[in-house]
Amino acid sequence: MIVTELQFINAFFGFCTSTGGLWPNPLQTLGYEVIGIEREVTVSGPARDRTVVPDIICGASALSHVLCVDAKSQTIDGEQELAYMQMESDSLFIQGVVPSAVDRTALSHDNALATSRSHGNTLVRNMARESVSLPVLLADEKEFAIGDGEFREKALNDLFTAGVEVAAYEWPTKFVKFTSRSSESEMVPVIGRVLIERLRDGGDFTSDDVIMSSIDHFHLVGRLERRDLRKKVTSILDQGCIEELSLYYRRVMPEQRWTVTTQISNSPNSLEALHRRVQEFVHRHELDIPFRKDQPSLFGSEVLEPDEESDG
Amino acid sequence: MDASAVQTRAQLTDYLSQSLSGDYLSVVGEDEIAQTSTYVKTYLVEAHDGPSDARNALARTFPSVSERSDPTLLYLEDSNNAQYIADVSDPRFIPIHSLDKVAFTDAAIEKLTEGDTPGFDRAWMPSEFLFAAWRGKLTGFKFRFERAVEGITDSADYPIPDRQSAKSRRPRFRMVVNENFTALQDYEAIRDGNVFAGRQTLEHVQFHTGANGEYVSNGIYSNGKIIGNGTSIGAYLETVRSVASNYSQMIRSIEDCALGWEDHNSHQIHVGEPIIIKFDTDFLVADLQQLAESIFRPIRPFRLLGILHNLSEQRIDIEGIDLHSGDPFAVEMTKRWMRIYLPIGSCGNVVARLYTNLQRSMSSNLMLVNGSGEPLVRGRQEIG
Repeated sequence: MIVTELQFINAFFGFCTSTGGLWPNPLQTLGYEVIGIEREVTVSGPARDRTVVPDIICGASALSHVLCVDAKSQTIDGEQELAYMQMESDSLFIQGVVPSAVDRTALSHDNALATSRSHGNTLVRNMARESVSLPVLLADEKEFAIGDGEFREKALNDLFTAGVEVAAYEWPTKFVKFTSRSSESEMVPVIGRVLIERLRDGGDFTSDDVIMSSIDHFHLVGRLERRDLRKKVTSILDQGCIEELSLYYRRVMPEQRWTVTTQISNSPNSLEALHRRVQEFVHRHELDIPFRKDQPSLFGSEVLEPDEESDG
Repeated sequence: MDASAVQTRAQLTDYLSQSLSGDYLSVVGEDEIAQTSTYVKTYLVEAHDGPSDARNALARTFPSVSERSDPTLLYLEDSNNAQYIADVSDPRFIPIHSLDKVAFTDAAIEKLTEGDTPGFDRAWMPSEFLFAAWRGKLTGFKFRFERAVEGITDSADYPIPDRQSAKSRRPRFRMVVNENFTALQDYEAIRDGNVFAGRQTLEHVQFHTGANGEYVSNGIYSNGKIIGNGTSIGAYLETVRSVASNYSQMIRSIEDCALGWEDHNSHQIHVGEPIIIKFDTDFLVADLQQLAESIFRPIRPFRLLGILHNLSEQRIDIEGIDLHSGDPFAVEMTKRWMRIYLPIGSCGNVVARLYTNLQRSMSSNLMLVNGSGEPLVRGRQEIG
């Protein structure tokens, strides 16, 4: 199993949350809460400062400890990971990553890289080549465990040395819907849902409107993440209005704005017709099928055009 | 006394008590007025837009809406001139009282809550909520179950011919115990004996309560309707009060699970936990996609839209919209459970509607729990 960045993020949200016994929550048991996602942290260096962006930051006030996790494939940037090694706990306090109520003098932190178990050996080799020394968490469909190095925080080290057992079908996916590095197939279901909301409301909407209705952490992320999110969401909105949803909205050029051309009523038939088109849009992206105007329905039945509807 | 004369709570009590004493005068024909006894009826509705717009929203269904000298009461009149008094002391959960004909009042409340008027939904009372709601002596109950969802295999669901059409249909289960002082023993015997296994979904409970020789016979329906007759309007209003209060508590406990970022000591922390509906084992989900498609539909009773994705035989993820409130929510669904992510600010009534209707159409043996595994619907023992 190749674990995506988004899957890692949701797994760690789950580790910090009670989910009715349907996903382990050992970090919550240790007192950790999620306090950041895609949060930029500046690390000062002798020659120049660098910015690192951990995918997820968890903090435990009882332990005065912060855990920053960055999901990786098998390659590393080198400079980024070296910057993680130079990060000081006090920077997390000064830059407001942790609540100011924590005991600044006792604050400690661990930075960890997380990757799929099948990528572990290559990642560790690449880290050695770049002289990067950080704990590496390996994950697959059964377990999260330390693959290399160790955590400074003993409780975390004990936890991930023993390993955290998981079940793939219980893997949470909805704490964080997407980030700028998510695939289109991960983003389209959420944007499709937001488009239905916008098409019911009518009027104009922007990429920021759609992002803020899609994910609840947009206000927390750094400038680079915002820029990249806007770029990807704009691309998907542009595809929608020339593909399955061309009857419903169009781009207002040259602005980052779209306008509803067919507002949807609340009649079940109108909603079903729109829903089928959005579902086709989503399903086609999941299957990675290019759009064709004469594309037969992926559901085996024709999609109603708005003017073919009859109220029922 | 006419409902339009009600200005205060004391007058509301007097007005409603006419129905119990048989002093209520109703128009039965042109220029003809009869003295009748009628059931007091109260409909508990949920106003998700809150206090800001309740009055204007009510005016879309009721042509006449006027304030009373008590600011927590509103007088309503529908297009059939049926009269109502709405108690807006809690602007989110509003009991609407009436003595008018049930044909008129049911239709008006349906119009208010079935999507014609944005902002209102019925109270959706799961079986365990209804069973916890009776006071005094249980005198009746009704089970109602119909397998309205698809994708489930159950040997009891053999199709039966439908006289109305050439098609066959799945059986509908009904069982009624009425005006019977052994109702509690009957209920417990059925529950413990596992008769109608998985189909013991309560639609209605009936009970007697009162004090000092005065009594009221109450009925509470799973759609939020409460009826009463007898001699004690005080006992009836106490039933309404406790049902509204317990319902409000249930919805607020659901909304306490809402997920999102909250400010704690000037710092954003992710809070909340998913809500879980656990399925029982007395049926088999044969086709998960078919099941999900039959639940996430824009028609009654679920009134949901869902974008299905990550489809596999074992698991489906859903981006949902509650068509009553327009609020988003998300679901992960397997053959054994449904995990619901309600964002902060979304209306919790969607969870009550989903759960109550799954009890009616999937199995009565479902459980609604929070992330810690605690039931979100307080049963009789928890209420005490």
